[in-house]
Amino acid sequence: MLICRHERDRYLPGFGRSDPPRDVERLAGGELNATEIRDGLDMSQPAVSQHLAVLRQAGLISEERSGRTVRYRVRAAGLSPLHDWLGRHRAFWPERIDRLKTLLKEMDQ
Amino acid sequence: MMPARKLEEAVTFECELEASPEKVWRALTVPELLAEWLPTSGSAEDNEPDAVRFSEIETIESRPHEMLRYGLREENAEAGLEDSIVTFELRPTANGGTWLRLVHVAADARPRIRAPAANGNVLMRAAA
Repeated sequence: MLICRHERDRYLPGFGRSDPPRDVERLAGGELNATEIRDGLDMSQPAVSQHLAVLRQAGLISEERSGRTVRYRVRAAGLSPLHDWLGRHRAFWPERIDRLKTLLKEMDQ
Repeated sequence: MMPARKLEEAVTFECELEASPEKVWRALTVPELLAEWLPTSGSAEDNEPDAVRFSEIETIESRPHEMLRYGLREENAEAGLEDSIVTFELRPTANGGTWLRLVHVAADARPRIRAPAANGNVLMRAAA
């Protein structure tokens, strides 16, 4: 599962700007702990932990503690229907307004 | 600790239109003109399964040339989110154009508002 750019910018501001969100793609393949997630990213461990906490609160990832290890897994059902609704309709209206603009040009007074 | 933020629950869009508020109002309210830019189910462009298509457009509130609110029904929407409400606000600009603001929210699952002359308020209903 990919987190779209909208979610990434909201929950992980400043994160992965030059890179694709590799951490989420890697999570989608299975489980990773915070150190594995941090590998290859230009972020401190506390910053990674903070971002993971936000993602978990948002319901996008789940965490499982085993002794001193915490493993993270993407929750495929974490995104709500409302999220999908918002995405579809955000993409819908600009195109409609473009059509409205064209119509307005074609209309007489 | 970063506070978790609630996702916004409305789609908003604003732009300037090069047409007077009266002209924009006609494009928003005259059914034949509205159909030119806001598609309904069963139209020729109905080829994408995920595309947004309204099967019903019903006037909820209307202040000519200023504010228009439509109740919308979208059959293919996410479960529980078939009904929504879009509000258009129009403001004249200094150069004779119109500043348009659009707010679209998914409505609660509740009976839709029916005015006494219900059919008179329904601009568009897709053929069964």
